[in-house]
Amino acid sequence: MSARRLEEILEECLSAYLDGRRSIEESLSRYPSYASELEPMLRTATGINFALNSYSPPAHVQQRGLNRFLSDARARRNMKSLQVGSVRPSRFAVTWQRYRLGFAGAAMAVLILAVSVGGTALMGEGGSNDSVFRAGTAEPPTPAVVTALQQQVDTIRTLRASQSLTADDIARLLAAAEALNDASDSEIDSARDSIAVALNDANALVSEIIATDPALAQPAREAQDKIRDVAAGIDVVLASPTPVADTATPVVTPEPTVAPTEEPTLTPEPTEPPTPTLPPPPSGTPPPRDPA
Amino acid sequence: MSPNGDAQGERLIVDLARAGDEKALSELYLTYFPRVYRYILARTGNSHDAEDLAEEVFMRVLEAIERFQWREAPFSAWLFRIAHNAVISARRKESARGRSGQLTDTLPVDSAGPEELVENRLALNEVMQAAQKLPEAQRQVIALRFGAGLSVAETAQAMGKGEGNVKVIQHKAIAKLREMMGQASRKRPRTYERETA
Repeated sequence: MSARRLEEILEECLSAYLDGRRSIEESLSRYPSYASELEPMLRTATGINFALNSYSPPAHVQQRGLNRFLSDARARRNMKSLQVGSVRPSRFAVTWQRYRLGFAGAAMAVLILAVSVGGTALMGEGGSNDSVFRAGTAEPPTPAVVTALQQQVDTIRTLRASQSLTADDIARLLAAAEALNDASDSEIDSARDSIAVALNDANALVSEIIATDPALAQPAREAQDKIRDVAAGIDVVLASPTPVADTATPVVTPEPTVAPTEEPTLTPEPTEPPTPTLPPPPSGTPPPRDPA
Repeated sequence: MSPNGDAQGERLIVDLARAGDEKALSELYLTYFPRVYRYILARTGNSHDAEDLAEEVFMRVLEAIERFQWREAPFSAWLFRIAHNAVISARRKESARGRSGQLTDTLPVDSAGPEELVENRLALNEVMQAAQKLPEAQRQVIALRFGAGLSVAETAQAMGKGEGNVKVIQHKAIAKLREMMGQASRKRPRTYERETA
């Protein structure tokens, strides 16, 4: 019996069950020669599915999260419309607007002091508005290594468009990606999403080069291997490259012909199948997919 | 919108959400929050982590949704990549503390009845404990297929692997879980069966 075939049949029967198209019994009768191996696997899988889908997030947690999500979205939208829709005032105007009462108070204090003590008191009032330029908080900046990688991706896109891309340019892209290996954990964690985007962009770009530019395919392939190593080293998942042209609907990546990364042979099934203690799904008939 | 539902409908909602439409954002959130929660629960085995991280995932979605591109992956695969990255980040932060993944008694169970509740909690605990012993890729496939409810194609895209590879990993994971849970059931007296008999 081919292990590959069993994996395919298991998935086919499992999908049919999870989508509500067939019961386990119907699947077993469809593949009688696989039934003895298939049945315990299907029972375990449906038991796991049932156990996990018996749980939902508490309603108050879901509601709290939704409120936070929407209010954050609103704040972002407002911030954006402010940035886009207004002419930016000068720093002096902003500072004056925000701290005018403080300035007025300080000026009054200086005046009183000057009147009561004398002109020398004025010297002590300098530099009191340092905090003006510290007001407001900014988001943590994107680490330079990530910005550099994004810039290299953009540069290579431009060079490709003008058909002047060389292997040296790909080497520079690779160097920018490999610089992530030297970034600290805190830098990685603070910019994980940006890093994931940049690495995925780089990976997609070298895939395009491999597919469309035979002269540069070799350095691009080497760069892709190393980019994948960098991503794996910092736990960033890379998407499967989709070499097809831009389409209106999401593209399902065709099944690659590469061998599986895990050990290639299957562990033989025990002769006496132990019975997992999972409570069985309500019946042999397929369940609703998502109870939430 | 069902997990495997109408792609065009989802596309419309995602595009509206990217433009900031609150109704679309709510719909996306309500559709995916329980699935993200169960995915993280399956990855971490801890309900409190699942609650906190699921919220955090949606904050990250807001930050990144403008950069989402349809040609790269379906929305679900993109979303669960963010969830994966959130789990990894949290694991790095928590690894020094050595926290264990215990389920709490307050976990809400969809099915009614105290007997079922006890059985389900024991069953989930058993699945969690066994799943924590799986290799990373196998645990991720189990979490994506059964926690998040993704298809094999979506799982493959979320993991950056081929579909054939995912089927192999899934088969191995189920075989290993079956073996581990079988061993656990032989060692453990089935007290809850006596209680509920």
